[in-house]
Amino acid sequence: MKILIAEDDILSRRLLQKTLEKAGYEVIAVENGRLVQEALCQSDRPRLALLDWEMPEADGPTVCRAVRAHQEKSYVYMIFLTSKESSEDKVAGLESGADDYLTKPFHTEELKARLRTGLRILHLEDRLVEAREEMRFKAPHDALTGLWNRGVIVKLLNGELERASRERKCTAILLCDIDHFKSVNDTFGHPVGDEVSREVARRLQGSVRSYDFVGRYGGEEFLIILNNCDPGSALTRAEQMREAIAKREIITNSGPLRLTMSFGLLRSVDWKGAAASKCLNEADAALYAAKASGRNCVRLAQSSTQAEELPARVSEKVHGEW
Amino acid sequence: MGVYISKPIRSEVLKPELGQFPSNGKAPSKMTPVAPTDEGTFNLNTLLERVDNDRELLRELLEIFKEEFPRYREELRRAAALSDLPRLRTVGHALKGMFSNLAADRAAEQAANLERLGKGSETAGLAAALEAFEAEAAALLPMLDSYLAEARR
Repeated sequence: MKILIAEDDILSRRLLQKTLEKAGYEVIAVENGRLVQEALCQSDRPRLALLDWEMPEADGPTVCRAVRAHQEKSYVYMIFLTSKESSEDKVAGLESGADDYLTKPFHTEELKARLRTGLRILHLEDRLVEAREEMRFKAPHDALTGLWNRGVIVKLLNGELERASRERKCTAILLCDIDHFKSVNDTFGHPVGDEVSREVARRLQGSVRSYDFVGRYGGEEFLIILNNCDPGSALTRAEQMREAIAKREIITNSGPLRLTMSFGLLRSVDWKGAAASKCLNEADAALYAAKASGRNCVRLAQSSTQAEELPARVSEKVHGEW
Repeated sequence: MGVYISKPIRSEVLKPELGQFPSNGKAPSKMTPVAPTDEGTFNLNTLLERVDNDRELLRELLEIFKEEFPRYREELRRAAALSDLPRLRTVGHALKGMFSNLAADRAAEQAANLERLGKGSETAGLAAALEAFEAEAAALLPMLDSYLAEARR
């Protein structure tokens, strides 16, 4: 652990440095307040600091206040080590932002113990930061698959539909479902079902572009948003995803399983001005149609006007029976 | 000069004392004080404990002191002569820190006294305070010198 010591008297500085080095610290020793401030306001600053009160250029409380005002990601634990021993001084020192206060000459074992207190606080901070970062990832992600969770993917869909309509581009939505997933769980148990879900998620994620979105919509149901997708190639891309699942067995602890998925596809250009909820309902109906026509296929959600205009062209590109 | 011990005597006493401590040993609680020094002037036990019985560090600190002190004393004398109270305060403070780390309690007290005078606005007690400090330094310096000579061997 790096520690900064600030002490203008060379003899005290040397004694302190040597004492702390023996205790296992990596010591950075400086002799005036300005150098302390510089060292403690940079990004890879030491997280422990032992400060003298009276120093040339800037005194200890000034330095403390400057460090506290300068928000960096990590906390600096600052201890005053000073010959000022009145209660008023201690209060002023702590009020300026120091965490602890020791008087000179220091008692080695006490100094070490106080530093260990500082380390405990820093360790606690590390754990809190770690937990916060974990939460920051977990909150929008599905715990099982690591994909966007339902709340996030639906929110993304809202945004993307609005953007597509504004920019007169097409967004394609795929609502898809693992075929006969219930029998996987019933036959092999839920852990194998989880393995399948994770692998399906990986394959879906692997078959989209970096700016597309894949989310877990429900149990074995996934929602994919293909941004700025050429309407003519939407079916092809849906077919590629269907194949990504169907063409290779999924390896599980109960052996390889051959599984397929059904897809309901909706292109925003076919449903101009429809809200996300309407689009989801229509995609769901298309998915239901895919299931009804034997599964392992893609069905397009067609608006009533469109169905009259170009039914033949679309059906040609769709895998399986229309 | 009651605390001033002649070099041959201390040499015999000190040498085995210093030699018996491993550099990473524990506090020398059972060490008999170096006879017949005055612990108020200089407490070797306290200092040894502070440096964790590291003889090399002890030597280094004494070397630093030997090199730094004359400059501080010169500044102190000049500040007193010019009645430069802010300067007196700064130098007094630095010397207080130095002496207290060296376990030279009385010299630290005298330096603290000078610092205190420097904080005020009166110059009346200045000459006497400086004299008291000089007297304490005169008692202390030869002791530190001889310890340094021991430590250098």
